[in-house]
Amino acid sequence: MIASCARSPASEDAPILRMSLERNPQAPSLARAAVAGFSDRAEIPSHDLDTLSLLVSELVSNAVLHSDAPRPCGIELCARVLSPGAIRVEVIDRGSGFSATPRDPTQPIGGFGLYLVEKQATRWGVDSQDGTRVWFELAGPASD
Amino acid sequence: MGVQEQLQIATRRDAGRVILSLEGELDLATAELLAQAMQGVADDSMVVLDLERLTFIDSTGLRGVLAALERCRERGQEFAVTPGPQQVQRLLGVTGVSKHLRIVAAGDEVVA
Repeated sequence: MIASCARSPASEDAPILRMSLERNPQAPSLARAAVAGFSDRAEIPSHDLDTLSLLVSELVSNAVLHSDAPRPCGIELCARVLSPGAIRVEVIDRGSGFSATPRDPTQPIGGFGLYLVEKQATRWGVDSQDGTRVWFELAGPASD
Repeated sequence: MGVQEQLQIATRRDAGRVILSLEGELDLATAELLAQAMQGVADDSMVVLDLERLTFIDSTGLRGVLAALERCRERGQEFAVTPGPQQVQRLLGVTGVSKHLRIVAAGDEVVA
């Protein structure tokens, strides 16, 4: 079974972005561009866009670098609006998952990706059924 | 978009210093370009990364900057970066990396 975006509890009209990315170094850049376009339609405040772009880039980079899924398996990116200015993003890959430890102190360089997600997202988490789904939410202006 | 369009690196030399100006996005795809550029600046006494025209950096890009710092340490070169735009400053700050970097003024005021 292919992992897919969790069903939206929000209105069916809420804007949704879905895209498949090849597992290669260009994936984070493509994901950022898509999410930037989506956030325009979704009326995400521009000051949240830096955070949104960064966290999307971190999760997709993690999926490219750390997944143990076979190469041809792509990465699925979903974003949807929860309420005006609030957004949920999911990055799904077919790997068996990785330890969701924000930062490994034995590695002086690296491990910043999930540390940043933990620090800057309103909520985040990892589900490891049918692959790995890492998600985060930004609550919008009120959370700043 | 190819990596060359995603990040351009211009090299200029000035008073024993080499300044690598990065324009575009420093991420998983383009960090390798910085590593390549660092290979060409082994003989300068000081390397400055000019980050003013960087439009985006994430943790993989930051890893590239730290790798450049490490190269300089190994080679006995001084290393510094310019502050960069707000997104860059924010990432350097929130990760604590800015504490480990020498940060110099941007542009022509870059002085030792």
